[in-house]
Amino acid sequence: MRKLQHNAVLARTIRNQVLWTRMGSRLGLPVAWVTSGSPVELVLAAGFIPFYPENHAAICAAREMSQGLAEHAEGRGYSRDLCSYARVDLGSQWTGRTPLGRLVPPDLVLVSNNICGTVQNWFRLTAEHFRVPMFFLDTPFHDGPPTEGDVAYVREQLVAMAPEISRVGWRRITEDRLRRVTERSREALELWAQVLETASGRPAPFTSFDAFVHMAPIVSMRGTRRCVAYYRGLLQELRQRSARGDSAIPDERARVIWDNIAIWPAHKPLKKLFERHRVALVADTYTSAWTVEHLDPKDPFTGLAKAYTDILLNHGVAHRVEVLTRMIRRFGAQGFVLHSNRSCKRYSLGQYGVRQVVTGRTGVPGVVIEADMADPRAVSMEHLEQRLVPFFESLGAGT
Amino acid sequence: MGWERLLEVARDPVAEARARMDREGRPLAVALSSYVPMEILDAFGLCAVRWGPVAEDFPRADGVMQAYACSFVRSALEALLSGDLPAGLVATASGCDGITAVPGMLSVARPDLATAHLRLPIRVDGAAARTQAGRALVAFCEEIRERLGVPLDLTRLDRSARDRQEVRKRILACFEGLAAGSFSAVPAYGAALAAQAMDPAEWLAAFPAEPILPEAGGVPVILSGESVPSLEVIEDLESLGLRVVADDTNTATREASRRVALEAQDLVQSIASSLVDRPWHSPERLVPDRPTAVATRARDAGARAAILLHQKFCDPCAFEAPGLASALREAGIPSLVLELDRQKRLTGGQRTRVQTLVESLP
Amino acid sequence: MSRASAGLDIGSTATKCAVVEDGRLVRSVIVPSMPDMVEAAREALRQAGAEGLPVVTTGYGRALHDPRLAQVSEITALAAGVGALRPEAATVVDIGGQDSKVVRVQDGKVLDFAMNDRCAAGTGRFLEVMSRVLGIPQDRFDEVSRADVEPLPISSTCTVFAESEVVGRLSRREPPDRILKGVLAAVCSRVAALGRQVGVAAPVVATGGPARSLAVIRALSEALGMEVVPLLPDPQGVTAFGAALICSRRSGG
Repeated sequence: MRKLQHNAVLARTIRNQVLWTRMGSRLGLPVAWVTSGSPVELVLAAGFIPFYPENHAAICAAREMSQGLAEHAEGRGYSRDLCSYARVDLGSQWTGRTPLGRLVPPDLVLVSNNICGTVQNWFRLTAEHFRVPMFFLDTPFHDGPPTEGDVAYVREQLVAMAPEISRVGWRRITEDRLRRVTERSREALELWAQVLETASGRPAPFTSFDAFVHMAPIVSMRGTRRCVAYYRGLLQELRQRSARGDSAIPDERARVIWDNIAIWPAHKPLKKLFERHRVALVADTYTSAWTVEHLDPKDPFTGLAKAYTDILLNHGVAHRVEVLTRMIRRFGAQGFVLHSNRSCKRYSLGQYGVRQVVTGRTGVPGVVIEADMADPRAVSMEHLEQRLVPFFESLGAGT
Repeated sequence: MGWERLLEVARDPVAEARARMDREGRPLAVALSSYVPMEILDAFGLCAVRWGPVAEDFPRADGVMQAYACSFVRSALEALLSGDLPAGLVATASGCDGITAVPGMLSVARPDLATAHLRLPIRVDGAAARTQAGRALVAFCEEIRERLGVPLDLTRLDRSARDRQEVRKRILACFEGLAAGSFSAVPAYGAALAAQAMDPAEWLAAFPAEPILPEAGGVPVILSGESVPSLEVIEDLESLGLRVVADDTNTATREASRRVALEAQDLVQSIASSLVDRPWHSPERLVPDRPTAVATRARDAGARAAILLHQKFCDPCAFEAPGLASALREAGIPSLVLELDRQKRLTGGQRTRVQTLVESLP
Repeated sequence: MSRASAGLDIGSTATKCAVVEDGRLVRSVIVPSMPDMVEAAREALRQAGAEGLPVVTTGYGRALHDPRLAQVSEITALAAGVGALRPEAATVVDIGGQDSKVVRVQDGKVLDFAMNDRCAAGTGRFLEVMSRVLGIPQDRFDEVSRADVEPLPISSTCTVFAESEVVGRLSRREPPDRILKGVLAAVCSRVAALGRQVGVAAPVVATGGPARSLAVIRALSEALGMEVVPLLPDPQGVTAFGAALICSRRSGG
C-alpha cells in the first residue's frame, strides 16, 4: 500500500486556493458564496472568486471545530435538528471563527435548491448577515430526466440573473465567457469521472475515502484551469498505480458502495475500520453527483439549466436505486452502506426503501448506519462498528 | 348539523374520510400539503381529504422512514400503510424535503398506490414562477388522469372551485372574529380542520350562521405554525389561560387566504396563479417579510404573547423560529416555541412552559 | 400573628413540601413520588404538618394532586424561591429528574427561561443511566470524580449513543473515573447549550438534586465558563419553598 502522491498536491492546491481567495479579495475581486449545486460558471464568468460554505463546514468538522460553532448557532435559537453544515457555517459567520484563519466576506450569495431545501434558508441568513444580495435558482425536483418545461423555467431564471450578477461583479457575463468556463467545467468533470472510474480496477487503486478528500477541487474550483490540471495529474498517478497493481487496501477482500455525504467527524477512524477489515469502498453517490453530459458550450444557458436540474439530489428514490444498482454492477461490489445522515433529509429519507429495492435487484446486501456529516455529538464510532463489523464479516471480510 | 357536526369531524377526520368513501362510493384522494389545490382532486371525481391529524405512534412508518422526519409526514405514512386511510391516490406538492420524499417512499412500500406530485415553484416572485406553476398544475392533472384513467371534469371543477373559495372565505371570517371577540378559537379551528376532510358543499350546508362567542378573560395570543395538530392542543392552550386572538397557522388562515380568480377563462391556470399569489406563505417559500408581517398581525390583534406550534424535525419551521421570535420581540411580544412530536396534546413540560410564560407576563 | 402557608412540589422523582411563616422556611420534607404521585403528595403534606394550611402546588404532577388547589409552574416557583434565598442571583440552573432549565431571574421573577423537556441528555435521568452503566452510585460521584482526574470525552449527547460510547470505553478497559468525568462534562455541556438560548448572567446558582454533587457543580462551572454556586443546604427544596412564598403572598400571610 503506497500513499497517494496527490495527497500532498491536494494540500498545496487547497492552500493556494485559500491564499488566492484571500489575496484576490484584498485586490478587490468580488467574492461569491455558492452552494455546491449552484451554477458556479455564472459567477466565474463575471469574475467572482467562489467560496463554498458546505466545503468550509466539512473542513471545520474534520478539524474538530464543528461542535463549538454549531453550539453557537444553537444558542441563537437554531435547532439541533437542523443541518449541521448550516449550523457550523452560520456559527462561523457569526463568531468569525474558522480553521482558514479568516473568512472572506461575500459580495453576493448564489443558491440552488437542487441539493436540498435547507440551503435557501441558510444562505438567506448569510445574505442578511453580510447585507449582500441573494440569487436563488429554483430547480424543480423530479424523478426521471428534467422536462422541457423545467429546463425552460430554470433557463429563464439563469438568463434573468446574469445581468444582475454582472452588475455586482467586475465584468459582464457574455455567452463567450460562459462558454469558456463551461468548457473547463466539463473537462474537469470528465477527468473526475475517469478518476472515480479507476476504482473499478482490481485491486482498487483509490477508494471513496480518498475521493471524499480529493473531490475538494471539483467542488470548489470547477470551471478553472487549475482544476483541470489537478485532475489530469491525479488521473495519471492513479493509472500508474493501476498498472503497477498498487492497491488502496492491502489484500482487498470485499468491495462496497457508499451512499450519502461522508461522516467527517469520524472520517479517519472509519477509513481505518474499512482498512482493518480489508474492505475497499470503491464508489459512492456523493462524489459523483454531477452529470457531465448536459454541459454544452454551444448553448451554455440551456446546458447549465439541464445540468443543474439533473443532479443526484434533485431526484428521488427511483433514481437513487438506478445509480446504486449501476455502481454495484460496474464496480463489482458485494455490499453497500447507506449512511442515514441526520443532517440531510433530502439525501437520507427514503434510504430504507432504497436498500430493499437495490438488494432485491442485485442480490447484494446493504446496511444502514446512523450518523451525521458534521456534528460529532450525533456520531458514535461504537455504533458504526456494531453495525459495520458484522456486515463486513457477512461479506467474508474480517480482521 | 351545525357546530356539532363540524367539531365531530375536526376531532376525527379519518373517520369522516372513511365514511365519505362509503357514502359517496368514490376513491379517496389524500393530499399531503396545503399547496395541493383540492378543487382539482374534486374535479377528478375523487373524495378529496387533506391530511392533518397527527398520530402518537408509527410502527409501520418507522419501518420505511427515519425517526428524524417530522410526525406530520410519518403519521400520514402510518395511516396509508396501515390501511386506516384506504387511499386511491396520494397527492403531494413541492415544499419541504420531508413531503418531497413521500412519493418515492410509497413507490417502494405501496407500489400499488397511485401518487401525483405537483412540482410547484419554490420561488413565488415574477412571471417565471407563475408560468412554471401553470405548467406544473397541467402536468399534475395529466399525471392523475394517466394513473387513474379518469378525465378532469370542468363543470365539476367550476363548482368545486366556487364552493371551496366560499369555505375559505368563511373560515377566514371566523378567524377575523377572534380579535374582535365575536368568535372563539375552538370552533374556528374546528371549522378549518373539518374543511380538510369534508366535501365542500356539505361543509357549507353544515356551517351554522350562529357564531360561538368566546368566554371572557385569558391572555390574548397569536398562534403560528405549519399545522394545528388537533383541537385538543387548542383546548390545552385555553385551559392554561390563553385566548387565541390571531392566527398564522398553515392549516387555518394561511390556507384560507388563498383566492382564485373564478371568472378567468382558464380556471386551471387561475388556480395555479392563486398558489403562487397566496398571501402569508409558509416559510418554505421564499418570501422576505414573513416575520414582520406576522408580528404586525399579532400587534394589530392585541396579542400579548405568541405560541409557535412547530413540528419537531420541520426544517422550514426551525429556520423560521429565531427570526420570527425576534420580530415579535421587537413588537413587544414574547414567544414560545412548542415542538410537537408524536402527540395530540401538550406534554407536561410544554404545559409548564406555557404556564410560566403566562405567569411572567408583565 | 401571621399565618403559615405551604408549597407542594410534585416532581417526577421526588415530592417536596415546604411550610413558611413570615416569609421564612419553618419546615421542609421530601418523599419519593413513585409509585403513586397522589399518595406521595398527601404524605408530604402530612409529614410537613401542612394539612389544612393554604397551599400552592407546583411541579410535574401539580394538576394530578387536587385540581382545585392553586397552581403555579415550577419555573415561577423556582424563581420566587431563589429570589428569597439569593436575591442577587441573576441565573438559575436547575437539573431535574427528567428535565433541565435555565432561568434568568430578577427580584424573584422570571425574565426569560429555556427548558429541555424532550430528551434525557442534560437531565438527572442521563446521570442515572450512566451511573448504572459505570457501576458508580450517584452518591459516590464526588469521591470518584476528583479535581485531578482527566476526563475522557463523551462526544455523543444522544443517551443511546452515549451509553454505547461508555460501554465501548469500558470494554477497552479505560478508567471509569475518567469516563465519569466525561459523562458529567457531556451533561453540563447540554445544560450550557440551554443557557446560551437565554444568555447566562452572573451570579449563577444551581438547584435540583444533582446540584448537591460538587463534581456536577465543577463540571457546570466549566461548561458555562463562570462560577456556579449550589443553593445549599437544600437545592431540591427551593421550588416548594418558592410555591409556599407565592401562597403566603396570595393569602396575605
